[in-house]
Amino acid sequence: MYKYQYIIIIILISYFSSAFGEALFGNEKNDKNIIWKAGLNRYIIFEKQDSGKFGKNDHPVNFESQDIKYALAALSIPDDSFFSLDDDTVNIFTVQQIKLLSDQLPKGFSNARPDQDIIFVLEKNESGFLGLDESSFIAGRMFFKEGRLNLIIGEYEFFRSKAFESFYDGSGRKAVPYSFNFGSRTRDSKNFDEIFINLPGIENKKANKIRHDWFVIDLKVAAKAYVNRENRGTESIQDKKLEAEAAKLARERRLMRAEMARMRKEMQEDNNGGASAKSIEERIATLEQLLDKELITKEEYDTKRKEILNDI
Amino acid sequence: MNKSKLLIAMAVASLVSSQVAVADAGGDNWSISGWINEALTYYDDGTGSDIVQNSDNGTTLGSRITLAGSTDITGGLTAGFEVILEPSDTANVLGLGSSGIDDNQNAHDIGVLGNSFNLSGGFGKVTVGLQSMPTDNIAVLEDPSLTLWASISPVFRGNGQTITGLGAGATNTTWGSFLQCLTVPGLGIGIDCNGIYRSGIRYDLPELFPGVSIAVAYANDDVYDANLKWKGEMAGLNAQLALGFATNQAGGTNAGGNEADMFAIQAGLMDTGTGIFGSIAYQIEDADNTAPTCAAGVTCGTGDDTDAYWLKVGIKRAFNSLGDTSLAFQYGSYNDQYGAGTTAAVAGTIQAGTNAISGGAALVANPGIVGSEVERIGFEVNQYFGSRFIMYGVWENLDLDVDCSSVACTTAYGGADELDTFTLGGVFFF
Repeated sequence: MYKYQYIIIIILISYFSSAFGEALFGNEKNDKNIIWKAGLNRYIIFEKQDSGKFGKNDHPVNFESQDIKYALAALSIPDDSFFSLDDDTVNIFTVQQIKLLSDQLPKGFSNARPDQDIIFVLEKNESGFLGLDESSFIAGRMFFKEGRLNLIIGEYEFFRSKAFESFYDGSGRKAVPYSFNFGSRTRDSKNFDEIFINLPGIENKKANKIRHDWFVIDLKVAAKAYVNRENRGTESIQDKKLEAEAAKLARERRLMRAEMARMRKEMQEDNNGGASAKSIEERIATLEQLLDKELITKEEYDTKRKEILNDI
Repeated sequence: MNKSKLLIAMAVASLVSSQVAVADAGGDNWSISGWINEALTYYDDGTGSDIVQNSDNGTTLGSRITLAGSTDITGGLTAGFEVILEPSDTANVLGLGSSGIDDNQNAHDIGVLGNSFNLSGGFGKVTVGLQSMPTDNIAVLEDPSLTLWASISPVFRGNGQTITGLGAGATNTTWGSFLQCLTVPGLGIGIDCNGIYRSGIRYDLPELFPGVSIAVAYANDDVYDANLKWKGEMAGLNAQLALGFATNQAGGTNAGGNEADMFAIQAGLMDTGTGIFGSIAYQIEDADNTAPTCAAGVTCGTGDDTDAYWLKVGIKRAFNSLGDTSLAFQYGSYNDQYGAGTTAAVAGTIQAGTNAISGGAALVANPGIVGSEVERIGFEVNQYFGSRFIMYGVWENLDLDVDCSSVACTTAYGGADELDTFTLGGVFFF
């Protein structure tokens, strides 16, 4: 057999084997569950409810992208990084993640079945020490119940091991099948000890005890409260700027008045020939300083200069 | 058409037919990452026992520091590099071999495990340099629990340990003497017989079909290999499959022949709901039994083929708030890996095998070894602490059985003691 015929046979076998494999293992079924996907470990997909204990979900649901964007932006935890201050907080989701979720979730939930949750894995890339890349994953589960969005976070800052990825998959696709916990209705993932929720419309699920990993969100209420808070925050910032400006002006006026009083005292001592008597040149120089600083008017300057010169 | 040309033809065919872009090629970036793996091991070899602190897991999963980076260049191409440094016990520098449970080990050194550059784009990825080849770890990585540091199919723990209980003429024989590879002699331990980084060129095809990856390579000297991997779902379970084929056209030292081939496969399944998982690995080697220096009528190359299999089953889930916990049982059987012969010393005798792995003495030219089996059983517990740190505890037992065709052989190898190791180790990822 000629060599090129081996090549053709190899190509045909490759295509047919893969098609058979795809049919057998149901890749077509997987595609229907995908809402968004970018690689093995970044996706938003439908999945069967993890537990039927709480009844079916209220799906499908329609809502505005903006509402969920504000709600997710409101979720934050204390920032325990090295350079953070005591009061600092950090958002659970990054700006990019919020945008992605707010773009995809409305579509997803408008097509979700009552027996389906939406699970997600998203990646966060940061530039760390010396500009080195650092990555981590966040994974969780969402569903609507009683008109409110339930968000359970199973993994937060799940470390992405780049060394292991390159060891595991030399193709460069970094296709490590990490085992993510997407959060469970029946088991606390214990990712968070404390959450900063200070917004109407968002609360932690309360069962036997408070589930810090489980958020129950009234999207409309939370979105409105978030917008109002941000607006108030904006106004407050402007007020503070004005106050600071006014305080600065008042301080400058006080300094100017004190300087003027000091110079007048010096001039008076000069006139009386006191211990601090100065030469004509010095007195005129002082007068010119007062004029430069606008502590005296031009007329006062002229009058006083004439007086000094008359002393000669 | 010989095997090497077949592999090249497959690569060219796929290259010509591919249109799929490689994912994740964007921007400039660089990273330093890796892990540190250390352990305490208690061993009992039937004669003595001791506790030893050793770097664990040999080359495959031993400590490493990976420096890697990439940059976008013109024409939709991405260029990258990777340098892997391996800090380990001095005896394991460059990763040849593995833990000998060395009581006297008190120094570490650092070697270069890998050093390569790569170009990637819509055509796939080409890597040149010292690197992991396609069949490296084919029978290792498809454990869906990823609890690799506790146990994998190669026999790392104890392969450099001397077997006790042997008879006269079999002194200094190590467990590794019966875990030798034919295809790439001295560079695999039981399973994973093309298992170290090699200097060569590797081509990873673009993702032609969802979940499928294919790679082919050439390495010094005249070693060609290829793999096919698949990941997906099967009957609601996460499934993984890897197949690898390697051929050593130069024959290799142990083979004493013209060619040695290796085929390996590993499959893994995991139910993410319950956490139950299983993985099975199988490897077969075939060496060309024609040794030109063998005299006529003399059996030459006693290890003309070997086979080995290993399986691991267990459960992995979050039982506590610390992170995932896994419990697993393993069993392995490594057959006829006592090494192929060299030249016939005496007509009618069986040649000695070499013992390149552990550095111990070669198997003494004892007549009569016609087969061997090393059995391994083990039980392990892994505890994740978040996603950066794993602690593991594992018990493993090695048992040797040698088939002999002579009394002298039976005397020498019939009374081997078992080796028990209890290891407590940790892996920190950074």
